[in-house]
Formats: sequence, structure tokens, C-alpha cells
Amino acid sequence: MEATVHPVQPTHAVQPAPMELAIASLVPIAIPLIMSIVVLTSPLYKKFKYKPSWAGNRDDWWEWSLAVITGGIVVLSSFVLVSYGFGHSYLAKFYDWYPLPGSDNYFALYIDTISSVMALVVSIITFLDLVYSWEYMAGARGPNRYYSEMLLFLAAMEGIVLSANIILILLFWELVGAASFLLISYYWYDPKIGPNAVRAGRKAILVTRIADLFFLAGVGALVALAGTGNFLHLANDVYLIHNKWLGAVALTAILFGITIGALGKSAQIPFWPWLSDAMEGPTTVSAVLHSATMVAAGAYLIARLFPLYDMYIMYNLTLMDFIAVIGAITAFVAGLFGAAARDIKKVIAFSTMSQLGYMFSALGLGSLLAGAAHLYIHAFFKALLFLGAGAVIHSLEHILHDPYEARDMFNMGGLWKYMKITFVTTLIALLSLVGIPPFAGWWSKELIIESAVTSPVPHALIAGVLLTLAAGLTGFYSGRLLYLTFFGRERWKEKHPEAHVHEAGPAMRFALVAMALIVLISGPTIVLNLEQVIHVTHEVHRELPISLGNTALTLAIIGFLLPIAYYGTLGVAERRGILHKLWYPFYKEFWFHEFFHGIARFWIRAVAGFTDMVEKAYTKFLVTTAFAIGRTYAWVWALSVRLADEEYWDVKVIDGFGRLTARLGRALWRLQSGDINLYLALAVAGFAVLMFITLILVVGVGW
Amino acid sequence: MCNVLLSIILAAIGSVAVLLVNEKRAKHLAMILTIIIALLLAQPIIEGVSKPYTENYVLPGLHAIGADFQIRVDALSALFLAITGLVFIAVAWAASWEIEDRPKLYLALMLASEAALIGVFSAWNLFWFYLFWEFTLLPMFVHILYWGGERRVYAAYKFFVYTQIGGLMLLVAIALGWLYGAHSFNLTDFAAGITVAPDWVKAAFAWLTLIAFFIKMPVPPFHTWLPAAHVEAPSPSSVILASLMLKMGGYAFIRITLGMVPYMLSMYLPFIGMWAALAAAYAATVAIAQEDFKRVVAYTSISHMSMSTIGAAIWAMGMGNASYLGFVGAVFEMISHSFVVGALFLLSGVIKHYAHTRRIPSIRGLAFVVPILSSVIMIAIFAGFGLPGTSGYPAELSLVASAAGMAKVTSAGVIVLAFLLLAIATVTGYLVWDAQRMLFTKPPIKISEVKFYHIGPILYLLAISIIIGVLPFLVMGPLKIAVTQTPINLAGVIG
Repeated sequence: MEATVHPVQPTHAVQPAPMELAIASLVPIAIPLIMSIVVLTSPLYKKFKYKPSWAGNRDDWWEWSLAVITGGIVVLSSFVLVSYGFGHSYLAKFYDWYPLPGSDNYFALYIDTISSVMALVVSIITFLDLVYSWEYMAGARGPNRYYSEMLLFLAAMEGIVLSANIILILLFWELVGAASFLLISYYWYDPKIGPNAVRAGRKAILVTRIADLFFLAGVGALVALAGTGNFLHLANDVYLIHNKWLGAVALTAILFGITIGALGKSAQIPFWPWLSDAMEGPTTVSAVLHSATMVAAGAYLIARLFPLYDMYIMYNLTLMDFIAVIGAITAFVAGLFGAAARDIKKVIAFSTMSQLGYMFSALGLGSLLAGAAHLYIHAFFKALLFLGAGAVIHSLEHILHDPYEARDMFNMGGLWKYMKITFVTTLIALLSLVGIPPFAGWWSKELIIESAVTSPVPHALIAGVLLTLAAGLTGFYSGRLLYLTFFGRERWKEKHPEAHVHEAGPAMRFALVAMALIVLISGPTIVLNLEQVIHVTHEVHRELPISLGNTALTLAIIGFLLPIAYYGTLGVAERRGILHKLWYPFYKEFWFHEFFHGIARFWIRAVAGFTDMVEKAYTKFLVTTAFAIGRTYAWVWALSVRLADEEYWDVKVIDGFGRLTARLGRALWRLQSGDINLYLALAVAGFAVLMFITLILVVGVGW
Repeated sequence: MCNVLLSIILAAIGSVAVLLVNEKRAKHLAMILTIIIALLLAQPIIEGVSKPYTENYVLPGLHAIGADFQIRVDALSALFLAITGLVFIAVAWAASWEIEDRPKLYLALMLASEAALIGVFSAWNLFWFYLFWEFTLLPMFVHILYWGGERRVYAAYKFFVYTQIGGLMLLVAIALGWLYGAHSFNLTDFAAGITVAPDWVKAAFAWLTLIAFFIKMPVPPFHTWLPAAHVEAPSPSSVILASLMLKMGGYAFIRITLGMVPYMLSMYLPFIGMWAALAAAYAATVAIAQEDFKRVVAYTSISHMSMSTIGAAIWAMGMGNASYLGFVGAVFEMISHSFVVGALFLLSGVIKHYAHTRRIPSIRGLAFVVPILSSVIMIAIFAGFGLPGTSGYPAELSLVASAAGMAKVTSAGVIVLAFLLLAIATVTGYLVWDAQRMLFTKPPIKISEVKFYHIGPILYLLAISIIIGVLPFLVMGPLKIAVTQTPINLAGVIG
């Protein structure tokens, strides 16, 4: 094995953005942010009687229109960004956000290939999803809340994508976390989902925020030691940072911190439980936040900071090795979880987790091209998959009247006859996911698995083998999903023989078809174009007896056909003997939810309870001590007065003094009557006297 | 005559004037006065404070002991003066509807405490500083005693006695410094004088002021007066107490203890930092177990002020960039805390007013019945745990950065960083949990939707917090000047 380190390629010289580009780059952040406030406050001003004919009897047309128009504007401006930024680098500076001596931390937007394409991907998916929401979210409580939170998410996500400074990336990063929290618990009012949704939202914000604290520490260390969070500076000066400012330990710690933040957001091991719970949110939210864009932010962050990671390879391979292996393990384990889940949304969620593992692994293996390509391509087909699942759930909810029943794949079956468009689009998404050529996923997955062969990191082959096996699992759960949902017995008819399933309405159909078309063209378009501008910098050459890519493809096809053959011949049954027991740990996700709940309960009951006990005891101790001191003091005082009074000293002086004291004491005694008015009068009087003196001093004597 | 003196006099005159007019006029007058004073106090920060503004009034009787009336407004003072002005608008607004019993007297005392607070943040003479410092106690004492809750007598006396012990320590420290030093109360002379004092005086001065200011801030274990006082105080007074009177402690810690005798503490600063970090985590953990929403906010307040102390300690350690960030973090955290915790305290008042209780388990299902109040609660909670986009984020970022910079130098920094992060995580956890319990538990309680006028001051404070969070250079800019104007060793540079 021989390492050939290419000379660091000159990145495209960063040019200051022209005025029109600066404005176009601000639009995706500013406009949705403003519109989210406009939409949120709509009940306060929406008094007009006008209602367009297409809205029927619905009142939320206003919020929906505003949201869709905003999404459209963002799509248009993202096209402008791509037209400028693809293959070039522009920097639009606005104002010094966090001024430090000797360094700038501008609120600046960086438009290059990675960011402009991601901005376009995010905006297109959000736009189509908002269109789709018209029918899916019909009848949901508080449409203003839903659309405004979606727009808040859009703005924050575009902020992550475009920011040129890690400080600001972290800002928007937490904002998407807040939007995710709000949207996951969107169904709080629902009698069935409500409590679970609230708990899921809490779990999401806590787990990701704990991971984000490592991110925060990493960014903080960067700010303290390097003085800036501007990654353009950092990437150019990595040599300087490594040798002069930070040293190897600090740089490793910083990059590890940032990586853990990314792992948390992308629900990698061990942070995934929040993602599988996040499926309590509306499916439209899952389609955008918890599959295509927000959870991919972790992978995006590493792609964004890739120059830093990439040059760091020159010094130390541990970090990249860590990322590659943890990504591969996640890809594999999530595949197992996906194969065990019954809830259609959870299957797709684990599939997301698995595919994010692929992205992390690709980036850890040192292939920005493969990682970025999979990031973009996966976003489209995974959003499509969720939209398809949403259409299925939406139809079944009308029959089964229970959100959880409607999401259970064992209550579906035979739907292809009734929902042809949904079936075809879902099939396209699944074939992309499995990576059957020439569908989209094949283009990027092939790149990832092949990059394991040429990667310089030590455990590249382990990652490669795990990813290859994970491809087989991907095929397996995809085939299972396809068969259980669209083929076989019509199990939803069992309890409701009269029921009919209908294809989704026009808005949902439009979104499905448009997204499917994009998925069909996305693979070659993205990969072939990205190949022109992103190059692999570090490579080694290995000889393998077999091609990993072809093995993965074979495994994927076998995996895809296996459940179809299995269920097709044996029929669909919920539990079947030993297999069920074998899969149970994966179905329970290794009891990690229970583990997390246990920690939280321990923290609240034991740690906080004990601390509170300490606090109470301490307070009581202080009060008791204070009273004891006061009582002793009073006793000593009284005693000495009495001794002086009765036994010693010149009667005239001491007696006089004693009588005075006693009288004072009696007066004070009377004061301690608990009469609030008296206390108050005394306090006010004292206060007035002091104030009077001050005024006299200042005004009278001062000048 | 400078703006500061003018505002002190305005507030003092106003506190008498509101007693002389009828109730409605008194409320309007108080509002107008606080707005005028806020404008006056904002002027230094808007103009930029690259050169400190000083003003001396020689007082015949007091000149001999070096107790001239001296005012000096540098960038640090200007920031605290600006927040004093801004916060009092919210206080006057909230008091105008929340205080129903003898509102005139309440407003009079409120304006008096504003006068005293402005004095504390601008005095450049320890005699006057101490006078104003003690003066702030009285209005607050009466506020708690007269308008407080059920255990108001207990709380008021506890507050008074406990903080008065701190005040006496400060008095002794100042007296010692005067006696063995330059026989002047002027801060610059005093700092120079104390360098030639005997060592035991320096040590006594350092530790007495340290404890006095830790009581005021408060940093555990000197904090037990605060939850009692907050729980019993009416919510506008809680805002004065939390947003401004605690800041006196932080401001004085930076200006007097660390500003004059840092060399006496240099050996202990890492321990102070670690202790403050531990205290922040401790207070946050105690807050998890609290059921009274106001107690939760009170412990949040302790936690935030302890975090700010970490920054101050790291600043005084003199470690270049990390120290700069420590100073920024300490002051930014205090400023952020003023607005955020002010909003949370006012929120607790609104909840009490509408739901007739502040016990979190008794407040259920607000989201089902009062969407506007629920939204406000959610936004306030987000600001409370420092969601980026609000003022908490730059503050916490600076603190974490300074702790990380400290970790590079000494391993104590790792402990500071760990506990600081634990505290931040814990605050997020319990605030989210408490908010969800109030908003989403079923069955919902009976409650009517809030009036806009009642949540107005909360929205006002949250708006400031968001503005600072989006444009943090508004605070960072003056801080950049302040850090050069506030040398760690005052005597070394000015004297």
C-alpha cells in the first residue's frame, strides 16, 4: 500500500460577490424568516371575507399561498446562486457579526459548488413539500403555526447551507433544531399522537443539543485559539493553525467536537433514538426535515468544512478513520433496524439513518465527491419516498381512523391497484434507494463503495465491507416495504370490508410526479457535473480480488428480491417463529430508547432530587444558624444590661443607661408586633430621611 | 451637567412627584420618566465611549476625606446604564397593571431604586458608590415587605439581613483600604493607594469584597436569600432585583475586586472559575426539582450569574485571547440575562395573574386554550436557554470559548468547560420540560387569553434580546472599548 499525496489543489480564488448575487444569496434566508412571522400572526389580521374558488370551504388558503409563494421565490433565487456559484466561489459580506480584536467574524455568505447546489436541493424539496401540504395537512389545527414553522426551518436551513462562518452555521444549526422540535411536536393536540409527539420533540431537542454542546465547545475553542470561525481563513491556514496556534491536540479536539455535533444532528450512532421518535411529526415534516435536509446537515457540515478535514489528513488519520467507521457501522446497523420495523415511516427513517451513514463514511474515506453527490441525490429520492408513504398513510387514515394503525405496514397491502401514481413514484424512489442502475442512487453509492478501495484511512476496507453488506440490507428493507405496502392481501379491508382507498388529490399528485421526474434525472446530472469541479486529493492504490461495487449491486438485487419471494410464497404474517425472536432486538433498537429514558429519569429523580435536598438542608441550616446567633446576641445583651443594672457600677450612670436601654428595648419589643404597616412606615421614614440627606448633599452643597 | 447626573435627579424628583398626582397620572408619569431616562442613559453608548466621560463635584465637607461626588462613564458603565434604562421601561409598564394596591408608592420606590442603580453604575468614588449600593436595598425591602406574597416578612428580612452582611463586609473593606491607602475614595487613587497597603489589608480587601459581591450576584453558596426574595417579591420588583441589582454584584466584582487587587487572587482564580462552573451546574440541577415557576427562574438566574463569574475569573487570569473572551462572556451574559430573565419573571407574573397559581403541575394544557400566551411562553423559554438568535448565544459562545482557551493553558479549564456545558445542557432540559408540562398536559385548566397590554413588557424585553442576538456587535462594540478601559490592574495603568 503506497500513499500518494497529491499536492493541495488551489481552490478557486474567492471573489467578492457582485451586488445582485449578494442580494440573491440573502433572499433564501431573509424572505422566509420575514414571511414566517407574517404567517404566524395571520389570525391577528386575517379578517377579510375573500376566498378563492379553489380553496373550497377551507380557511388556510392564505397561509398556504404565502408559504408556497415564498418557497417559489427561494427556488428561483437558488437557481441564481447555482448559476453563479457552480465551479466558482463567491463571498458576500454583510456586517461584522462577532467582532474580535484582530479578526473578523462577518455575517457572510459563501456561494460555491457545495453550498449553491445544496441550497437548490433544499429549496426545491421544501417547495414541493409545501405544495403537497395543501391536501396532506387539511384539517390540521393551527395552519399558521405549521406553515410559519416550515418557513422558519427553510430560512435556518438555507442559513446553514450558505454561511461562511462556523459561528453562524452553529446559530442556524440550533435554529433548525428549534424548528424541528416545534414541528415534531406539531400534533400535541391529537388525543392519540399528542403525548408521544410532545415526548419525541423533547427528546429531539435534548439529544441534538447535547451533541451540539460538543460542537459549541469546538467552535468556542476555535474562536479562542484561532480567533475566527471563518472557515475560508481556516482552510487556507491549516498548516499555521496546526503548527503555531493550536497544536495537534487542540486541533483534533476541535474537529472531534464539531464531528460529534454533526453525528448528533445526523442521528448517527449513538444519537439515533431521537430520529426514530421524530416520526411522530407530520409526514410532510419527516419528508423535509427528518430525511432530506435537516438530518443531512451533519453530513453537509463535514462536506462544508471538508478542506479543513482533508488537509488534516496530512497530519493525522484518526479522525477521518473514526468518521468512516462510525458511518459504516451506522449504515449497517440502521439497515438491520429498518428490516425489523413495522411502521412504514420508521422504515424510511432508518433508511435515512443508514444512507447518512454512507455519506459520513464517504467523507471519512476522503471522497468529497461521493459524499456530496450522495447528499444531494439521496435528498430527492428520500423526500419522494416520504411523500409516497404520506399519500398511503393519508388514504388509510380515512379507513382505519388511527394514525398508528395507518402507519403499520401489516395493515396495508395490495395498494398498487388503487394508487397507481403513488405506486410508480414510490417504486422509482425505492429503486433509486437500492441503487439499481440507472436509477439515481446507483450513481453515488457506486462512488462511495469504490472510494473505500482508494482511501488512505487505515480501516477503509472494514468500512467498505460494512457498506457493501449494508447495500444488501438496503435492498432487503426496500423490497419488504414495497411488497408489504403495495402487494399481497389487502389487509386494511379485513376490518372494514366496505372501505375504498383513493389516490391522492391533485396537489399531492403534482408534488409526487414532479419529485419523481427530478429523481430520475438527478443521478447523472449531479454526478457528471460534480465530477467536473470536485477532485479527490488523497488516494492510495489497493488490489482487491473482487470489485466491491459489483458485489454491493448483486447483494442489493438479491436483498430486494428476497422479501418479495418470501412474502410472495409464504404469505404475510406478523409473527413467524424464530425469525421474529431473532429480529426483536433490532425492532427494539437495542433498547436504546429505554436507556435514554433511564438516564433522564435518573437525572431528574436521583441527581436533581438529591441536589434539591442538599439545597433545602443548607438553606435551613443557614436560617437556623442565623436565628441562633441572633438569639444568643440578644440574650448576652439582655444579661449584661441586667447585671449592670442590678449589681455593679454607679447607680446613676448605669441605672440611667439601663433604664434608657430597657425603654428602648420595650419600644423595640413593641415594634416587633408583626404589624406590617408599622414596619412599612419605619422603612419608608428611614428611606425618606436618607434620600433627603442625599438630595441636600448633592443639590445644596454640590454646586 | 451630564446625562447620568440628570437622570439620577430626574428619577429622584420623579419619585416624589408620582406621590403628588393621582394614580392614573402617576402611572403615565412613571412611564414617561423611565422612557426619558432610558434615552438619556442610551446616549453615551450611541455616541460611542472611546473616551470616558468624567465629572467631579467638590463637596466642601467631604472633600477632606476624599469623598467628592465623582462620576465616570466608560464603556462598561455605559452598557450597564443602558440596560438599566431599558429594563426600567418594562418594569414601569408591568407595574402599571400588576400593582393594584397603592401603586403610587410602588412607583415612587421604583424610581428611587432606579436613581440609586444609576448611581452605582456610574459613581467613581467609593463613598458614593457605597451610599448608592446600600440605598438600593431600601426600596426593594419595602417592595417585598408590602407587595410581596404570603411569606413576605420572612423573605424581606432575609433579603435585607443577608445582603446587609455583604454590605457590611464591603464597608469594612472600603474602610480598611481608605485607612491604609491613599485616604481617598476616588477609585483611581484608592486603587493606587491599596498597592502600598500592608499585605493583610490587601488580602482582607480582596476576600471581603469577593464575598460581598458573591452574595450580591449571587454565587452559591451565598445564594439562599435569592429564591426566597424572588418568590415573594411582586414580579416587576423581581425584574429590578434580577435584571439590575444582581448586576451590581457582577459589575463591582469586575471593577473593584478584580479591578483593584487581582494580584491577591491570582493564585485562586482557577479555583474561583471551577467553583463558579460547579455552582452554575448546581443551581441548574436544583432548578430541575422546583415546582414553582418563579423558583425555576430564580435558580436559572443563579446559574447564569455563576456562568458570568466564570468569565470574569478567566478575564482576570490574563491569558490573552481567552481572557478577552472571558470579559466579553461575563458582561454579555449579564446583559443577556437582564432581558431574558426579566422577561421570564414578568411571564411568571402574567401566569400567576391569569392562572392564579405558579405551580407547574397545576398549570395544564395552556396550548389548548390560550395560544397567544403559549407562544409567548415558548419564545421566552427559547430565549431562556439561549437559543441562537437570542442574546444568550453570543454570551454562551464567548464563555465556552474562554473556557476552552483556559483549557489550553491549564487543566482546570477542562473542568470549567465540562461543568459550564453541563449547566447549559441542564438549563435547556428543564426549561423545555417545564414549558411542555405547562402547555401540553391534559386536561386543560380554565384560563382566559392574555391582554396584549399585559404581555407587552415581556415582548419588549424579548425583542431586545432577539435584536442583540441578531446584531451582537451592538454589545461587542462597546465591549471592545471596555476591555481596554477596564485594565485588570487598575492602579497599574491609570494610577
